Amino acid sequence: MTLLSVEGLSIRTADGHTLVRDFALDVNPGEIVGIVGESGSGKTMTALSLLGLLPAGVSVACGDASLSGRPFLRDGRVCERPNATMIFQNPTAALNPTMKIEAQLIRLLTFLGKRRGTGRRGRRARAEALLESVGIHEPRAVLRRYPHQLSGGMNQRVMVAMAVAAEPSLLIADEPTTGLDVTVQAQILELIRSTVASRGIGVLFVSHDMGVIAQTCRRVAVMYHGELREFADVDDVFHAPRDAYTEELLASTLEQPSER
Amino acid sequence: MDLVLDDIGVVYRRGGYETRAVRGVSLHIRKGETLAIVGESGSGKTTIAKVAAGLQKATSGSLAWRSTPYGAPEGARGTGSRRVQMVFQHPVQSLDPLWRIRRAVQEPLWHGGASRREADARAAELITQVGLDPSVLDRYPRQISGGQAQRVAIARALIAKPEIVILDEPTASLDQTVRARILTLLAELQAGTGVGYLMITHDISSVRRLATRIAVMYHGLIVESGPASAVLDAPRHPYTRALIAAVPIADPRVPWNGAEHVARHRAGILAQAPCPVESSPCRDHGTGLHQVGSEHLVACTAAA
Ligand SMILES: Nc1ncnc2c1ncn2[C@@H]1O[C@H](COP(=O)(O)OP(=O)(O)OP(=O)(O)O)[C@@H](O)[C@H]1O
Ligand SMILES: Nc1ncnc2c1ncn2[C@@H]1O[C@H](COP(=O)(O)OP(=O)(O)OP(=O)(O)O)[C@@H](O)[C@H]1O
Ligand SMILES: [Mg+2]
Ligand SMILES: [Mg+2]
Repeated sequence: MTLLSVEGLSIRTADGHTLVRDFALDVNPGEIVGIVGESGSGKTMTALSLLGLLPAGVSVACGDASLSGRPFLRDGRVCERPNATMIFQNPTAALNPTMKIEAQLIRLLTFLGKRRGTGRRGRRARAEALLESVGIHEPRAVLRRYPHQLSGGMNQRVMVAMAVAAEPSLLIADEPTTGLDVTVQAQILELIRSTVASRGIGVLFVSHDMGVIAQTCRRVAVMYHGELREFADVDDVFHAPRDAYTEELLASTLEQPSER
Repeated sequence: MDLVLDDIGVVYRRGGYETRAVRGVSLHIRKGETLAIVGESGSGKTTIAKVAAGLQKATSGSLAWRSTPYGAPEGARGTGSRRVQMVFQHPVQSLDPLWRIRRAVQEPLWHGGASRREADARAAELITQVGLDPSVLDRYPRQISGGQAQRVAIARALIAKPEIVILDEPTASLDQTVRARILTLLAELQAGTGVGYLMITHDISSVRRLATRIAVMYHGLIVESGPASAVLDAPRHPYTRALIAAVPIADPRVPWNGAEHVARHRAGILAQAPCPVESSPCRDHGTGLHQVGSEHLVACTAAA
């Protein structure tokens, strides 16, 4: 059965501009679906709309969406909270600046522990393990810091760890590896892939990195100016693009170090 | 004028914790050239950029325009200079939420006493050059996308014709067509005005396109540096090699497993490139660079 299904999604601003028009896509369990597209084409707005997190002045005009067969967006209205988590494009905005990393992780683990019965000491160890899973070498030192005392990439990894730990059935990742060096990126992609394989969750993966998309996604959606231009297997999109914008995107994919 | 950073050290102290974020880094940012810094997340790239921009003082070492120091070791004031502009890593946060984009973009011009007409014309010119519609100037930061904010930050940095521009991940949130366009714009401006760039990036293809020289950072140290072609085509340090090998290939038909290129640490955690000689992470080694080619330096004694 389809995990996520989105149909006829349109997003509009209060002053009447359409940001996203008639968007549709589906994600199967255990599948990573990519979204690529022009900067400003509406990728983030699409992602936020699925979680009911659109900023003030922007709203869903129409559209339906369901997760595991249960509708959560009906005719443009959120009617249920889907079991989904999101990795935000802007990591520091999603972390609480006044709380140490430890407190933020413990809060999340306490919340989850209610579901799974993890004890207090277990949580502390689990917080450290979470940071290690995203390649942070000194988890103890990092736990004692505030977000502004960490590098951009470290905050990003904390976010990834939290989003994965919440055990959602759908993970929405908005440029989860932007700002990470490629060795850390490889680790994060591996973490996402193994989570998908072991738990059968679905991932909606927004990225502008065609290499990352080619290597992690099975299918990819291409957006341009608020419209879905193409939605197909990565192999088709990369080798037999049907849309002029996709062709342009592929052509400008900068020279790859192919001489290896 | 060249900007020279000599033996810079930065230590963050906080509640009994000490982070040696930058350890003895020397850089020479030359006019008309692009020096790229690549490296591990958390290795001190942003910290060194802020020191170069005069926004943060170093714990040790010195900063000078050719030979005139304007920032000095601890104690002295490391004052900034409008001759250096910086594009911050997280563009949305670097813009004041209460200012319209127009004001943010024009602000560097005010110090030079530009008239309102000039400022408006320049802002419209630059915003168009970075591929945005001038109507963006009348919006607030929260009303634009991540990649649009990044381009606004670039326009702002370039508007007052600085001598050195420090770009911290300037194209991280841009799609590849816009990225190519920004890189071309930066190269054209450099050819026209002789501006020098210090570009921090994780994107090896941008480095190939723009960089004259490269410095590779790992754990607060420069572990390899040299002319761009030498470092990219004949990397010597194990971390540099991993960095180049772990770039995902933009073709679903070519099998790739990036994690494979990243050596495994004792605890089974993926960690960067343990030293081939000592089988310990590089941070346990001393500093010091060894020459392996013309201007090509590497920290690793085994690789040298
Ligand atoms: N609060 C807002 N009010 C009005 N328009 C907005 C608002 N936020 C974003 N927009 C506009 O909506 C469009 C889509 O923005 P969105 O953030 O979804 O783009 P994106 O595809 O994620 O781009 P990027 O790759 O640059 O992150 C953009 O043109 C942007 O200027
Ligand atoms: N204000 C601060 N207080 C304490 N530690 C800090 C502070 N700012 C940075 N650090 C630490 O200094 C080190 C270097 O940080 P920096 O931001 O320079 O890294 P970076 O190379 O830019 O990383 P990234 O690629 O992730 O942006 C990190 O370990 C970071 O946690
Ligand atoms: Mg976005
Ligand atoms: Mg940084």
